[in-house]
This record gives sequence, structure tokens and C-alpha cells, in this order.
Amino acid sequence: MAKIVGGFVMPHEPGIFYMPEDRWTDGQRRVMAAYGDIARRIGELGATAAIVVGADHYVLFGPGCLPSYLIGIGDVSGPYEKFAGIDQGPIPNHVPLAEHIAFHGRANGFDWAVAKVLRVDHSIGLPARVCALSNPSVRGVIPVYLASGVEPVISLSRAYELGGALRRAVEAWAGEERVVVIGSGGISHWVGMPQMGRVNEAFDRQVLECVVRGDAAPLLALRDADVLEQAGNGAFEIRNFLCMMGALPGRTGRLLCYEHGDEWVTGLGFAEVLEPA
Amino acid sequence: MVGYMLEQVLYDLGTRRDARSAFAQDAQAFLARYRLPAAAAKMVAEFDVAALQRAGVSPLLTYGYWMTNAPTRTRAAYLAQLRGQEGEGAWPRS
Repeated sequence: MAKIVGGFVMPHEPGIFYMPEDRWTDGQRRVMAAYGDIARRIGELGATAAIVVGADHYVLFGPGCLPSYLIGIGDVSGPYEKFAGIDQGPIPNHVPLAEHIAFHGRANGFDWAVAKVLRVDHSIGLPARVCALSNPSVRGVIPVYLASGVEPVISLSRAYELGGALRRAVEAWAGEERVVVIGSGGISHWVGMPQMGRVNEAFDRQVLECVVRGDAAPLLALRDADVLEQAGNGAFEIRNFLCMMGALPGRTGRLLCYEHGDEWVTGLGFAEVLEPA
Repeated sequence: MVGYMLEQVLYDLGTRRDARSAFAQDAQAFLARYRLPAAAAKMVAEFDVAALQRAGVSPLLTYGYWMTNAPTRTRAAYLAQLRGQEGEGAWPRS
């Protein structure tokens, strides 16, 4: 039986990867070390597949079709943005498991939208390249997009429930896969809004504390209007964290890194959630 | 819904090279394809991102369209334009 062996949250702020190494700040070095820590942990867990939960930024999906939640079940490539040293070509998917998740969900109350061909953006491409596929044990990355950037956004509770659906589908898979789930997102940030560049560290740390405590309830109690006011439209991406938490319900973890600074436009949080052996 | 059609315009300008070229060559002709009210077309042609946001356009789109089409494609210029109509320096870093 396949199983989920761990969960992570991490940011996908493009500015991290646009910055040339000779201009790295101490904060940037800590951030890059945190990506390295997660990559190493995914290897230590012996993960064979990674589910990366990201957000479209109104680039992949247009006004003509905005899925609430979508899974890539076929050919995947990306990220479409150019970053120094980051491959943009094909990303190996675990097609049979991805198809299984989609159809298991559809049989159990989760009507996944599917992409048979998908070029991902940085929100999935960076975690996939930097943390998952850097491990030879990882043979496939399954991309999941939530409506967590473009309004109307998926509800917080539905994002959490979707994580549970991911877990049940993985556990219903007959193969011996060891799966990690990555919630990819910034915390407080105001994308394209007048406040862009501002962060709310107190909000960010509260979110990360919930992740580490395995306590989704305070996050699920948030109202979107309050999130927007306190932490900006970019903080809607905490749905991606909640989806991961739903896949590892009640599991506790550890904070790996938190940073914010003028180099970036968002609070950057890294944490691991542990699945008991 | 004017706001939704404006989102389509900005989405096209942010993601399609042919749209950007057409807009740069003749903004009025390009915008005529979308049958926008004159006031809405003017917002796009004049990069009035504050007005576009007030019309309901996603900030993700106003930012992407600015960074791929505006005469000065920097975050600072974008924010100056956006904040100019809401009060310079109204949003200090917390």
C-alpha cells in the first residue's frame, strides 16, 4: 500500500531565484539552506513521489476557465519562467498515481479538474526542481493547483478536505509508493496591491505555528476578508498549506526557517510535518 | 461585466506576445476587439492600474500587464502609479 511519509511547506517567491549568488544576503543564504534541508529530508524519507500543491497567479488559467482544484495527470513541464540553473523541460509525473487520485476523488465527492498536458509555473516548478527531483529516489512529481491566488478562491475548509482526499487516494493505491506532500506558498504578501512589499510577521508566525502544531482549526476559522486585511491577497495561498495539513491531519512538525526582508515581497516560511513511522 | 472583460484584456496582454505586439502598435485598434466602454479602454491604454483595480480587475493581472507592457516596467514605477491615486507613502512596511 502506498503511504504519505511526510509534508512540507515552503515559499515559491521568484525573487529568491532571480538573485545572483554574488548578491546573496545572510537571509538569502538561510533561505537557500532551508530549501536544501527540505531536499535532504525528502531523500531521507525515501520518497518516491511528491505531490506539490501550488497556486496559479493568473497566468496558466485565464478568465475563460478558472478551476477550483486541478491535478496534472499527464505530461508536465516547467517552470515556464526562466531562472538561472533551473531546467524548464519535462518534469516526470507519476501518471498512474495521478490518474488514480483524480478518479478516486471523483468517486468520493471530489470532482477534480484535470490537465492532460500542463506547463507549470514557479509555484510548482521550483519546489519540484529544487527539493523533490534533486533526489534520485523521487520518480515523479504530481502537480496540484488550488484556486489560492486568483479570486474566487477555494474555501479554506475545502482546501483542507482536499488534503484528506489526497491521503485517502494515496492509501488506496496498491503500489509501494512513498509520497511527500508539499504546500507551496508565501504567507503575508500583497501581490500587485498598493501595499506590495509589506509583510506581517506576526500573522506569518501564527500560520507557521499552526502548521508545526498540526492545528488547522485557527486557520480554518479565518475569514478571507480578515486575511486580506492582515496579510494581503497573497496570503490566500495558506490554502496550499492547509491542503498539505489535511493530508497529514494532526501531525506535528518543526519550523525550519522564517525570513522576510527587502529582498522579497513575502514572508518566507519553511516547515516539515512528520508522519509517524 | 466590464470588470471581467477587462481581466480578459489584461490576461491576454500579460500572457500573449501577439497581443502585446498589437497593443504596442495600435492600442485603440487592439482594444476595439474587446468592445469595451470608452472609459474602460482608456484605463488600459493609459496604464491606469488604480482605476483598473477599482473596476474589479485582479491585482495579479494589473501587475503582470504593467510588467510586460508599460513604458517603465519596474515594480517601483508600478507602485508609484498605483499609489499616486491613493496617497504616496500610504503603506509603510510593518
